[in-house]
Amino acid sequence: MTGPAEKEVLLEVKDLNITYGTGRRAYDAVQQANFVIYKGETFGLVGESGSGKTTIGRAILRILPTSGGEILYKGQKINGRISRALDKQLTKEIQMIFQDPQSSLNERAKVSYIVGEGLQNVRPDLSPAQREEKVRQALLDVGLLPEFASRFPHEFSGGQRQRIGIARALIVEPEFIVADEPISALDMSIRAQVLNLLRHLQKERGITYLFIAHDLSVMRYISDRIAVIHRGRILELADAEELVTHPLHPYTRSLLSAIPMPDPRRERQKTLLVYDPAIHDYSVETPQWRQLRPRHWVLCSGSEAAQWLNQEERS
Amino acid sequence: MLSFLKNIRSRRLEQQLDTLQQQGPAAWAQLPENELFTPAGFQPQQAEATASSNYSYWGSTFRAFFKNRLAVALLIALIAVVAFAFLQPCLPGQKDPNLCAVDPVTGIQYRNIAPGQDGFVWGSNSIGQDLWARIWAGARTSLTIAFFVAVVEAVVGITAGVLWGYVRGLDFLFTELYNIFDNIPTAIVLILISYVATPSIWTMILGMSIKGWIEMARFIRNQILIIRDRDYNVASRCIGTPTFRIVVRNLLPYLVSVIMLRMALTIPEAIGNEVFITYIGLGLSVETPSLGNLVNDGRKVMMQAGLRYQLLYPTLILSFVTIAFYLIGNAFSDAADPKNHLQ
Amino acid sequence: MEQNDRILSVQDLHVKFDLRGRVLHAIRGVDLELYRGEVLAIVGESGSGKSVFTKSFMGLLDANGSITGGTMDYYPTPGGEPVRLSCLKGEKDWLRIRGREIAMVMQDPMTSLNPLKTIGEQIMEAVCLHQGLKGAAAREKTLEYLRDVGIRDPEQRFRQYPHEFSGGMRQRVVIAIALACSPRILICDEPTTALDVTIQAQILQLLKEMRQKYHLTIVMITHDLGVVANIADRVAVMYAGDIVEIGTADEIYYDPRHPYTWALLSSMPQMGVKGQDLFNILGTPPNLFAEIRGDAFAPRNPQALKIDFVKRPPYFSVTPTHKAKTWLLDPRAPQVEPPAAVKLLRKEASVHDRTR
Repeated sequence: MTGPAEKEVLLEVKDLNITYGTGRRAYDAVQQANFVIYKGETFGLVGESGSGKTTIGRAILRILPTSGGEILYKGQKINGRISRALDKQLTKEIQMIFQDPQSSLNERAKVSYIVGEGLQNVRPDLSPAQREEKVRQALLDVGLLPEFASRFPHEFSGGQRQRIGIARALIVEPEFIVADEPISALDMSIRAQVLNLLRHLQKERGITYLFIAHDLSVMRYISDRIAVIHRGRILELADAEELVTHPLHPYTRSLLSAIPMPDPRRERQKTLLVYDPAIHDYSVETPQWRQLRPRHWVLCSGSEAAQWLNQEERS
Repeated sequence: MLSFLKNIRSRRLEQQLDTLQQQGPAAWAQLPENELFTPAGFQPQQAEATASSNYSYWGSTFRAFFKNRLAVALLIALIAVVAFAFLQPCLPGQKDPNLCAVDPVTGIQYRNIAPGQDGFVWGSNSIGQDLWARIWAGARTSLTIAFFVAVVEAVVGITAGVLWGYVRGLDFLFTELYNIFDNIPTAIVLILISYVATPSIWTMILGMSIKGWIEMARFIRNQILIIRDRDYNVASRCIGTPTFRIVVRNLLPYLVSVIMLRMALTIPEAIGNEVFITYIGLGLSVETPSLGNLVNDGRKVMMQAGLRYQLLYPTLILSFVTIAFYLIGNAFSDAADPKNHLQ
Repeated sequence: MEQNDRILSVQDLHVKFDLRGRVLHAIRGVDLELYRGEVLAIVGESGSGKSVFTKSFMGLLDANGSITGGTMDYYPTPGGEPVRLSCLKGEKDWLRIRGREIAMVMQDPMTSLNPLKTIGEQIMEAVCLHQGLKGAAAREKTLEYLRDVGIRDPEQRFRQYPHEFSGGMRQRVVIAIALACSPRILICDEPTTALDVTIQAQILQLLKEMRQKYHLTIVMITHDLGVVANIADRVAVMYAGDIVEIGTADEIYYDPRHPYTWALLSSMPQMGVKGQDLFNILGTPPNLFAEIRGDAFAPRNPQALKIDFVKRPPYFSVTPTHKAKTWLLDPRAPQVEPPAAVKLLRKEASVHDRTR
């Protein structure tokens, strides 16, 4: 998938702040996050646990409240208090795929209820028979057999359960899907199945993805653009290939060096780069969001910018 | 029964899979060597087909329960006893529990007749009432009280507990309510109620449920807190499911086994409370026989060796019912735990 | 590696489970030799039996599981008398092996640690139990282990509880506890699966260092072939309760022979080409309740031969250290090309050879 053909902005995050707790125990999960997601693309958000990536995803779904800044969907503000009409629209148009297939399905409900649950909410006009038909179709769309509708989740493997979760999100025909580490809990061989499925669905239906993960190797394959987040701050943002071939921020470099390659000789010779936040000295110069290369932005101070660009030229 | 049917179904599915697998390969076993080493032709459907699992939660729960012979025996005995308690008046030749029987020949009351004599199966008490009839009537009363207490506690307790656990704003209110209720001893409540209104079955039920529901509510609230923020509930919120349906379809099904355990334990507790209250003289009056009354009466004549039967029989029934409910409740709770479903 | 350098020898092992009245044949005739001082990676999907296999070395099978056939011999000293692990029955017998000789690091560090005890206490417990030290000496040893596994400020960390540590740190503590048992064999059951990719790399690095320092033999279980490229000396690929291919790391990555290994290597996202579908293995692992005829992987293998459905393939040797259970290696079988990704790796290897 090459860069987005249309530059229509679907989702915009502006100066977003999310803080847990109050007073002395306040914890800044996300600080001054700024990015834009274009229609039809796959936007990757990569970072370690605790970096705030899942928090942003859940804030977009309005599961978590924000403490500052705005999230704009099709130009409309969706965080904070919103009208019921907008709420209904968003429920249909923005959906989420969860990380853990073992806990994201209701064990005591049949697959037909789980997948059809969203339809009951956004399309109350459908008769049960029509709903059942749509459920069958949704299961086929994700590569499962329609007769699975009458079974319970525990009868399925992790990969199949994840696909049931995808069917559940798809059935309301969303335009934007937040995929929160959808493959981290799956076996290697099953990851490929799910990734292929997500790509096909995007091609067929023009869905926009916010793909959240901690693994750059997956990101490189599936994303058009990638943002790197660390401790609540977005450090780097660029097109996927650009980010992977010309990483500028030391954190991005450390993420790249950690990707395991199935090549023993190369792996044995590899030196692991460990990122130490203490290497930044922001006491004098506060970091700014700067464009250092074409379509490639980094959060850094002026001196760092020069230093990192130099390093990149040389390597 | 259901699990048996499911077993048949899954076995049939597996047989179908086996035949599918055989239709190709069975024939191939006969092939000459050089033909064996040719490509088999790939069928994607064969790759995706999985046998259906024979696991059903309730099926496994009941199977685990029925493996516990003691619990099953007690259950059968308990059902027999309870059924008998309610059917006893319909049997022929039963005496009125309140009737002070008088010997038609001599005109003297049948007082303290020993068990087995003069047609009194379990003897009679000091004013000539048939103990057999009284005990069964008492069992009926006590069981009715206990049953209603359990139901009221369950209904009110679950509703309150769900609201308490799920709606974050109500947490403070309910916690304070709980702190107030928890500090008032049940005995005081019962005593107060006995003073305010004449003790009857309904006041007793009221008195016991007033405190009981808050315990159930707290228990349910704790369980809800545990499962409230699991991914599948968050997912339901994301797709717009209203709170009511989340509670009924996502949360309560997980709590059924816990609720049943608590109800099973509420019943002996209620009977015990009733016995206690009657024991201290604030319970039901003598006209309404209850196990508490009977135990109390029996206590009065306990010291005379010949009359100990008046304490023995009510106590036997009381103990049996209490122990049976308790053990069955615990056995069921163990069986409902998915970790015990392996065998 | 010579014959008398082996530390564990498994012959034709069969493990079965009784599950709700049916029998699950989890391990179906596994042969394995583990050599002293090496790192062996066992790679396979969920349900392949890799965890069950290693649990059977330590007598940690669930109550409804049992070893129904084959033998397992453990050689504590080179050329010495073996201990027949498959015959150990009671807890008392296993306690002499568990921890002391064979220790395990498991996947989820949060549930492996006791949340109510400080981590210092938990490590010291192992030190006192297995090394016979007490008091100040035990504490010193504990601090040494904490330093070894890369935890800074060990004196301060000693008094902290598991919830005060991050995931990677907790896994380091679990490794420290395992080391404190001073085992000969360390089994790591997917130790990095729950961790971020950067922490994963650091933990693998740590395991390599600890192997050197404490002369350990490590068995590493994972579903991710990428993770073990760095650390493994030999790799065994497991499918449906059987080891289908085993060889040195170089042989497995650069010259795999079993179609399942090909599929595993090709389906990694690192091997994916943007804009094209990732290679993926269709379907799901087989039902281990039923009897499996022929090669277990055949229904999912686009290159299966007819004989794969009829008869189970034996081991075919590619080199003295590399063998695979596939009929494709039989001289009568047609030549089959491995997928593009595998050929790419082979090319990379020859590039390495030339540049060295």
